[in-house]
Amino acid sequence: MSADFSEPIVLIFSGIILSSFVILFHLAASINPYHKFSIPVFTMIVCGAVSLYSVSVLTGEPIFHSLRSSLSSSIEAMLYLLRAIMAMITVGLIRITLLTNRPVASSS
Amino acid sequence: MNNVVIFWSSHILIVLAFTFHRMGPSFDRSRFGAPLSLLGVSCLLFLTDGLGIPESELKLSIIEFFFWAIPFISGSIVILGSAPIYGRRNKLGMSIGWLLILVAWAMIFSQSQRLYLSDFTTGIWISIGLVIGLIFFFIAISLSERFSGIINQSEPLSQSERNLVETILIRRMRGN
Repeated sequence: MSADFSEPIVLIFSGIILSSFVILFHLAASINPYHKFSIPVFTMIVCGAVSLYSVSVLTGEPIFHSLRSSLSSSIEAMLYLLRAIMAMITVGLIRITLLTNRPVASSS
Repeated sequence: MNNVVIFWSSHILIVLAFTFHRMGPSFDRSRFGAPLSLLGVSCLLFLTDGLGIPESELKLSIIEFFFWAIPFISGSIVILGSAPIYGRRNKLGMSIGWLLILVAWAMIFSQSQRLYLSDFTTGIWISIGLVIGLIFFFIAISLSERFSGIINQSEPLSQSERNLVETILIRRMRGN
């Protein structure tokens, strides 16, 4: 991906492609008689297709390669961002560790 | 090319496994969640040698993720089980949990050649895209619910169902 002003737009579209990908497979796997899935499926296909076409136009790569690179970069970035979430969980664990067994006071 | 197909099929298997698992025990398919997940992860790690450029980097990231996520999740579970939230503090459990957390952080810092602020910025842009996708999904769900009316009224309770409900209510109200 080129390092110009269009990079954030490509990344945002990549995120939309990842969410469409996951939601479409989620909808297909969770199908049941009470499931009203036609409008969500149509919406996510349109979202994914528009985003994929936009990424392909912006990067100048073929559609299939754009799909692979978008999904790869999105998943990789999410795994990277998990480290920040891990830092927040560690702070929470420190707080839990420092807890003492205090008696609970009556509230009213 | 076959490896690429296996690689992405493994991802699809993991998504399907997660969905099956979260459907709960009222659906028979929920029992396939854990085995499918194991199959997906195994295929992803062991059957995808010699991948091309976008996938090889992702596979490396996934392997690195497992290296720190497994000790971190294990440590967190041990600490939560040993913390004085509901019971008494278990010092041995806390020590083991914190040791695992330290191992996880050591793993992350040993991969420090890949820790850049720009990667976090990339993650934030992609998170914005994910949120936009989810917003479209929720709008689609609300439209779907709005357009579908009530199909039919449910049947009244049979005599045996009434007796069952009555028995449960009486038991609950008596407190036994």
